[in-house]
Amino acid sequence: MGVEAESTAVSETRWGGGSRKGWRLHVQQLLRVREMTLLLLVCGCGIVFSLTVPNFGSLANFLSISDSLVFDAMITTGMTIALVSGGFDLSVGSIFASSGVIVAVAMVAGLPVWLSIGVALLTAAGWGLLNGLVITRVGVNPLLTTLATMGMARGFVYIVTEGRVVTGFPDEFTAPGQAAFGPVSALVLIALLVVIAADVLLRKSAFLRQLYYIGSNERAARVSGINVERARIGVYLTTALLAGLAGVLSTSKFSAAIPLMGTGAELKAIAAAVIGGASLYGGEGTVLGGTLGLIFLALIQSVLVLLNISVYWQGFIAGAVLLLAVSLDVLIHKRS
Amino acid sequence: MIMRQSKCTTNIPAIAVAGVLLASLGQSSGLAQQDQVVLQGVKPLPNERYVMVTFLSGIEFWVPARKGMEHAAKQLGVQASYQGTEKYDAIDEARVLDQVIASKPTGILVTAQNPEALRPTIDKAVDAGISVVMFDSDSPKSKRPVFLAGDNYRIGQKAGELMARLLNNKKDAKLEVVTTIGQLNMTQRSSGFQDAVEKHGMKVVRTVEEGGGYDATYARTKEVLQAVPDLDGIFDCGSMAPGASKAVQETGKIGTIKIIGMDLDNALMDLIEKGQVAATLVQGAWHMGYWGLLMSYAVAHGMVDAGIGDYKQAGASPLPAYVDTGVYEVTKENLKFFRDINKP
Repeated sequence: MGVEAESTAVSETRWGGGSRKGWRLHVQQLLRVREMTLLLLVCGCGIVFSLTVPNFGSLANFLSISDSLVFDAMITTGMTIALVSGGFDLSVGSIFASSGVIVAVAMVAGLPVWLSIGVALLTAAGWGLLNGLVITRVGVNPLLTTLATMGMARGFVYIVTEGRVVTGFPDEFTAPGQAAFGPVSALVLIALLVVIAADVLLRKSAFLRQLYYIGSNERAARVSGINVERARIGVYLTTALLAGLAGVLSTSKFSAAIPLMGTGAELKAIAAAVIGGASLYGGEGTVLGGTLGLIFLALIQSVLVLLNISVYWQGFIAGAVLLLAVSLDVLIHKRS
Repeated sequence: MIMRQSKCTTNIPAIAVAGVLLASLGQSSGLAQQDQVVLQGVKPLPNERYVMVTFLSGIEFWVPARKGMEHAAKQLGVQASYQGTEKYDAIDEARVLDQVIASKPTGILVTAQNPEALRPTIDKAVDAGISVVMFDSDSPKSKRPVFLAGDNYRIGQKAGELMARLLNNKKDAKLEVVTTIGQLNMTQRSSGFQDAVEKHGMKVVRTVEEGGGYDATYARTKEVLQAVPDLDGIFDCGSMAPGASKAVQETGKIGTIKIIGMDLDNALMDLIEKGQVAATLVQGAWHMGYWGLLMSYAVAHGMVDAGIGDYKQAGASPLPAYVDTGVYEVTKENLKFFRDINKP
């Protein structure tokens, strides 16, 4: 669906005419765009919670929610791209940790800040390249490949840190992670930039658009002359670099790199991307959708704390809401 | 780099105790000639092996336990090695433990990721005649003779008492607890804390889940601060207090909201130094390794019979069932003494 559905929706909007039937078709077609359902759901939740949950509707609460989404948003962006291409990347949480820790260790060892960041991003790229090469050249399933590198990268973190939290960085490194423009933190702006850029590129750039083709029908893509291997390697480089960048920023924000950082980030990203319309079978999904999925998950989590739901119930309720949201989405698509 | 040369601090009272203990049991006399650290009167047994087995083996928490074990091993002239699974995974830990058992060591010091999942393998080690001790996370129904650990309920109580002092017994103070549900040690700390603060008329208004990494604790604490703007204190039962501290810092209430953490890593040290985290409770993990090895050695060498004689026939354990390894309160004032506690 993904791109196709979108283009049909767009054309229907354009040529749909003014009759009642046309109008109904409009709504149906709009609803078929995955992001639309989700956007309505997010806005609906936002409005309902604002009216019913004390302190929810405040600007401070929205800013605090967005502050807590920064790293997940960047990782989800990469995951969405991987899912679109028919791939999968379980190693992002570990790569996040690996870069977050490498930048820390490099600075503590006395490397200049820019070089430390460079080394951290190169490390991430290294993991991405390893994933890409094993998947394309050796032909191992992405799930297994990235499951293995997830373990390797986490192990690498422990080798480098010996399990210890690393601290003691120059101010010029920690400043950007803690900077703010008015009430909006610099990190939120960076994440926003990444999300918007990735969303536009995935829709418009020829290189990224071909991922939808590869994801929905790899053989056809190959026959039509697309360099599938190169595109795939590019995908895993992208997911790794985004995770690596997020890791570096996290270390900057917390002024500390903890070996456990990013544990479980891959599952959260997959959940967000799938809620946002990405398919586990490839060929579908948008970055905007993934981000909305993430926001939806965060809204639910935030409300659970604001309403003082018992911590024992939180996991259950969050899971149930997730199931409900995904089911609702599937039902809407079935009907139209 | 973060790796430092390990420095063997000699613990005089411990050596004295161990020395008396060993000498009194008539270990073969004569000075240890090569290894200076081996205690006087103890015959080094370079082929005798003791293995520590952990889960999440990479984490900093095990470093003092490992150091304690190595300290004792040096004094006794035996080999000590460290094994485990890097994962938080009972099955994988059981696999490692199985392999260790197959290598036939004299003693095993083990901590169980899950009490039931590790039980058969622990029993297997005991049945194989290996001198097993357990530390930190127990498998109470297994055949292990002793368990050495901090009493988590008491740790929580201590944190509660400390919180009351930090807030000058403020009536109706509102507190947040950060925990991991389903993890027994944290649940016990959390309830110890709750019971203690309630006696001081304070209340835990939010309990949130810690998650892996600082991110989740940061996010949850931000939400709590939205819901309860007049929060007074936070106790993190795990090790993510820096995440909570970051959230508090962003609201500009650092210092007003008192944060108590657990254990001691570099990030916590920095924050305690800066006054952004008020205190942390550091467990006596070193004791788990040191006394764990001594106990394992004592049983393996038939040094203890608990005054029963044939304790095996009697179905009794030659060791105390439980040793509380205690906890230290670390604040800005005494931080400097604890700085090296986790250095490998």
